Amino acid sequence: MRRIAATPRPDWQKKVEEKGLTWHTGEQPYWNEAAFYEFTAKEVDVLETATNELEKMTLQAAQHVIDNKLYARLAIPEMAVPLIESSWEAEPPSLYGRFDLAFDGVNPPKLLEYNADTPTGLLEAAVVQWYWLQDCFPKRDQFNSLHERLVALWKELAQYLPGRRIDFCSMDDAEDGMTVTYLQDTAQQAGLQASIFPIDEIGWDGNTFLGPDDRPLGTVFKLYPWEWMVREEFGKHIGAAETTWMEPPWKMLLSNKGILPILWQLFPRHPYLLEASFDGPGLMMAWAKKPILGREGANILLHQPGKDVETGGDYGEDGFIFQQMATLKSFDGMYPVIGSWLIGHEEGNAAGGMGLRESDTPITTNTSLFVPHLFD
Amino acid sequence: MKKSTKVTLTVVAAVGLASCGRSRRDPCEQGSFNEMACQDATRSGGYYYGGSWYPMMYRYPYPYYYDHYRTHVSNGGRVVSAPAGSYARPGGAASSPGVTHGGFGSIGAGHGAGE
Repeated sequence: MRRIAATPRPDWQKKVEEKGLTWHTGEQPYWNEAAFYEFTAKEVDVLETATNELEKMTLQAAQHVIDNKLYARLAIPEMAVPLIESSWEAEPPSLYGRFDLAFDGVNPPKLLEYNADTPTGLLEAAVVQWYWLQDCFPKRDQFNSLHERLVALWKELAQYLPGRRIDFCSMDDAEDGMTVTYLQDTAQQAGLQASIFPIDEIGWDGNTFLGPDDRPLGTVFKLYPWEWMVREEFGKHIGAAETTWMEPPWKMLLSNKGILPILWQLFPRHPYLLEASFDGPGLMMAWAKKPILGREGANILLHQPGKDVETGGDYGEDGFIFQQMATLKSFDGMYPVIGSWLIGHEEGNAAGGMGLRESDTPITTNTSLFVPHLFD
Repeated sequence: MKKSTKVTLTVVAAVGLASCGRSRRDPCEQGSFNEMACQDATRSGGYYYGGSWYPMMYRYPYPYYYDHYRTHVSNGGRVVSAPAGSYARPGGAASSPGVTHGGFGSIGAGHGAGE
């Protein structure tokens, strides 16, 4: 695994915009092709194997939470429990997820967290970096079959979607909008009817959730976290309505940082896991304190002897977990985190590709840069 | 085996092209400026056009686009308005009695929900 400096394509902004990445530059470029990461095929195999193994482990952890009613430990409100349990039994459609992994090319990947419910950055990983590869290194390869897998999965799911239709909704936000617009595209390529609208335009008529045009909603992909949905005004209607939601409610268990200590309890010293605890750092020398329901690197405290680094934010009122600090290797002063994507949940065959984000600190936040990759 | 070979884009490519002003009409573009729709679009991070929602990233507040539009017009620039109703929210005005909206989205208001 190497980080290699590169000269960006002269008109890279136009090229990425043409692929749908309409937000590519903030205070600095978010899409960064002034460098790329190079992997060996063996390293990609390691990441793929780890992703499939972690998928299996997290499903076992979800079953453990349900069997032992550990909902309070995860700050999940009681009213959400029937939603979780019924969706776990019924197995409604589930599309995707993303493991964030620390990896240095030498040691086994370590799970930092699992974005199981509302992962973004998909367009960059599935499409934009793929076209970058075609332009710059057409004879090289990339760990990326995300697009084909998404289209194929929608085709499989079509039979379960009333009217072969899916509606997408998200917040009025550029990054979220890009993700759902891309997913809408993949659904349409699979032959589904699809529309997209802001989540606050969902209506309720006393029995049924409705779209902005007052059409009953059969299946909705919502890029909006379950822990917020169940606490909002319409949350109390979810169980009574016939609308099927993607991702399903049971993903609430896995997008929760509390799943990390539960994984550690179930699989102690597993090579893909970092020690984690609900009760404090114990004997850990260097650790991260993360809000159970935190998002995008907010309210994280990284502790090393003699040195603390903390991020701001509004999360933490539901409690924290403590996780052994991963030893992120610095590549040219940058710390990469691998976002390893799952498409579907087919055992042993869910890993679909990866995207890398890097920061000049060991905490990945919403300002971290997306950097393309390739392998031989 | 890991190589992606069949990436084709329909909507996404259209989004990218449209952001360059070659497809639907961005209400904040000087050549297709629409005062009310642009105000809504900069506030909401996107706009409806022909009943579809188009997420956008506006880097500046509304007055910036208004000033550009005024400069464009004062320099003799042409403005091609979108057909009436193009920016309307589908079903918004005609929502049935007894239907309430806004019951989702309050916690995430003002920022993204993805991670």
